[in-house]
Amino acid sequence: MAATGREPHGGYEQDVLRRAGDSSVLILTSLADGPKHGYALLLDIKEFAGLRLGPGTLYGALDRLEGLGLIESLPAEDRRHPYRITSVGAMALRHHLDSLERVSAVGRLRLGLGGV
Amino acid sequence: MPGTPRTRMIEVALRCYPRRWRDHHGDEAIEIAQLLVSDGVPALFVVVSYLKGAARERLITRPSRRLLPAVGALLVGASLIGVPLVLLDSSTPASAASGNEVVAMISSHQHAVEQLESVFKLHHFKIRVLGVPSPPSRDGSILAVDIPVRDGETGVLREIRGPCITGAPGCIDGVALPLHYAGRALVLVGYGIKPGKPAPEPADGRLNYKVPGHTTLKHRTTKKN
Repeated sequence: MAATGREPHGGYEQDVLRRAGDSSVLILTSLADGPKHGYALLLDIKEFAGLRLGPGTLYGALDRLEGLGLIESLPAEDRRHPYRITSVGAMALRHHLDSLERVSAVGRLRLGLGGV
Repeated sequence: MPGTPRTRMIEVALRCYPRRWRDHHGDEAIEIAQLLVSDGVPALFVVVSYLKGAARERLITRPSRRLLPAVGALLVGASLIGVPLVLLDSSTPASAASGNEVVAMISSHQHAVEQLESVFKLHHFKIRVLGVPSPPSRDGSILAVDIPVRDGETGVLREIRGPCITGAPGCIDGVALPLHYAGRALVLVGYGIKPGKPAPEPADGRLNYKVPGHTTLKHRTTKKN
């Protein structure tokens, strides 16, 4: 989907992932190093987050992210649909991670763990 | 694991999804289920996950028949009288389905393109949304809806009027279309030209847009603010 029309409004400058749910953030993080299909996403997320996403949750999040233009599906390989993060998605993920980092720093400081 | 009870359970769970979803994801969903189960994931976990996903999908496409009748009625009712759905979060797509119709409304002019794209993608419609320069008064409103003649379904998309970004009436803030619409369409959304730049305000009240693959589109909102 064309990204035309987004830039004039700066629509993705805010943290659009704030309410998107953890599964969306995990999927974007997984796709950040290259396209993957559904099963590869589930394995990768289990690997780096220690969390087993249900396949129904996965598809719900994929549809939602695709609807927001944060990921796009690539031509199907056999029965599998690989997905790729879009430039808008990468930007949204970066904003979200920055936001998490700020919260993390404050939390650590207030817990007396040091380091902002 | 063909023919086993757990395979049948998974197939039943997948049949709970709308047909449009099954056409898009069905084959891969079965394969993923088989791979997960062969990896040792309990079949019940897979079945429950698909059932929850199907329920969510149904809630999105047919809220008026499920747990959110009030929300569905509000969305549809508000759209019919042309009221913008400002109750929704600005990043949330405004979507509702009642009976056989899906209503996509712009609730935030600043996020109009994203909102419409999100709704159309969510329902797997083959509808493109394109932002094009417009007079400032049309910023974030629908300028034109075009259906290629070859799709032969002109007139199926109903434009819904609402206030412009300035608050004045006369803009198009949403479209309603059949739930099972399978044709293509192009929706043009305006983004206002900044001060100092020439605004495309035509003398005859109609704007022309050229989009590759489409005939010249007319800006149908002719009412001046």
